Amino acid sequence: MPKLIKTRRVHCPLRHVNAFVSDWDDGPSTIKCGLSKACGDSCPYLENPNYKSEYKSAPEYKPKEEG
Amino acid sequence: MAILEEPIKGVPVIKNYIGGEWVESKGELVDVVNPAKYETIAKVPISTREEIDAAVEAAQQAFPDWRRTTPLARVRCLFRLKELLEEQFEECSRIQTQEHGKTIDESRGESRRGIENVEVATGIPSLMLGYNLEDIASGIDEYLIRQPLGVFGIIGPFNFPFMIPLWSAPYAVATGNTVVVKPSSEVPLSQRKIAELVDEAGFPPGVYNLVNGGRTVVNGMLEHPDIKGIAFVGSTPTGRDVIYKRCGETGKRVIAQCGAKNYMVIMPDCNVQRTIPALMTSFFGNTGQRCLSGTVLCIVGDDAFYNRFLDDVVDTTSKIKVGYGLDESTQMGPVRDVKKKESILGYIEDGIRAGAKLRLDGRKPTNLASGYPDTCFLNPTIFEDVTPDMRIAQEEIFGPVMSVIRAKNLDEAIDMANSTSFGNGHAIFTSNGKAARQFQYNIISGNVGINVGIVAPMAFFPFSGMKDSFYGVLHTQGQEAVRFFTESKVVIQRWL
Repeated sequence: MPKLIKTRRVHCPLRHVNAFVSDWDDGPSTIKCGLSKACGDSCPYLENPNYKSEYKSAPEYKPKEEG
Repeated sequence: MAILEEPIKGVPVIKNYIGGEWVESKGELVDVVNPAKYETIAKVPISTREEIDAAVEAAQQAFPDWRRTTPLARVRCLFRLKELLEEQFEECSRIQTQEHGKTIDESRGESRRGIENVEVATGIPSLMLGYNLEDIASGIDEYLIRQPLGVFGIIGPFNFPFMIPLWSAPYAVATGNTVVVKPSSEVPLSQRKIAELVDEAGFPPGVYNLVNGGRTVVNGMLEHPDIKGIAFVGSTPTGRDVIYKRCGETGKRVIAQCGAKNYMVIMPDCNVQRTIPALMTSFFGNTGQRCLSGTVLCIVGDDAFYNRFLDDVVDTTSKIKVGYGLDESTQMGPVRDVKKKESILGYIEDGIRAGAKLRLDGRKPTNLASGYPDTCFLNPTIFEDVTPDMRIAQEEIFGPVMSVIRAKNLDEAIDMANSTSFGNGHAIFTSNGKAARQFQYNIISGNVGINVGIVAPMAFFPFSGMKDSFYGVLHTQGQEAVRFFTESKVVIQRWL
């Protein structure tokens, strides 16, 4: 019986919804999402469960160092 | 990052959707222009009075049967629509970018909020419930039922071509009314797409109608006796002086959501690391063409805080990547058209003449990707030393322009924000709960942000507004939309 390591809630930047990525001790991660049927193979988490969009809606703010 | 494929090919001529049929208009055709490429992507008709009358008639004819259709059956059409919208989510989003110019990320967010309204409206069997009380007198019971009224007109603006009609239309049809939707003639393609999906979703003919055009269509709605109410989103002069006034004269229900001038009040105890990114999307998201955009940055604090904070805002703003919204790396698209750009440039010139200091000059777009004309592009602009009496601090610019004002303390900041004629989406950034409460309590604003820069209510909350930002009583979205689109009928019964 595979053992669940953890379930992560992710924010899908393509659909602007939450999805759930579960990591198991004996194999690949699984994706649970209410839109999985509509997205099909285009779900970025299927290919990479650790997917993170490169897109930033605004430039990154980096505070200047003091002094 | 990729440049995404455009969904609109060629130059389609848009038709009206009346009584379940796609009907060619006899009206004059005008160009729909993609502002990023400044090329014509469609032709839209300016429909005639006869065409809006035909749509209202089709809606009126469909009303009795649709009203008698059970709420469960009505929302099944909405469930199907929701499913179709999800299937074609990306296409819907790309259409928005192609016709409006916003970034694809903004379009996807807009699609999501539109769909969320469809989702909320599927709850009509519960949301529309009335209530009752037995024995209000001996042997007498009283109950309230909510009934649809008939045909509603829905008039959309140019800045959110997909989402804004969905603040109203799903609730209107779910409660048993029929609708005629008029999108902005500048951006008609998103609503054409929605009407195609409505057709596929199984709504009976005449329940949902789409008529493209301008003033003639609006006047036709306002003057038609079968139109029971109007849900309008657009500018304050039109909302107040035309829609609200004439709905009053003709006895129609009205929601008129209008302009804004939103203050973002920065307290010295704010979390700067989190505040500055929030300000970027507040002021410059949707290229500032949003009634919830930050427009005045009001900084409270001493010189050291002010200078450091503003330097960081200017530095971060200067790095915003401007370009075509279908380029996935773009952070700010063009403004919608040349006239709007000219209006924004006029405000910038006015600010300079009034003595404000141009801290970041966005009049000439720089670093645009090659191949795109700069016709509708601007870079972000930041004015410093703005005073509350200047036009750039009072009037809605509707573009990527930040006016920076200093306030001695929170009271003064609130007074300045309240001195504008608008009250739509003011916000405070602070880590002090007492200051946040004081702001929430005293600010005159329909939507209030506390460490939130874009105060966009979720679909199950009303989209509020005060002063010149809103005319009417009930609002779009959620329970208030259900109330707007239904009449409360009270029955008192005694069986003898």
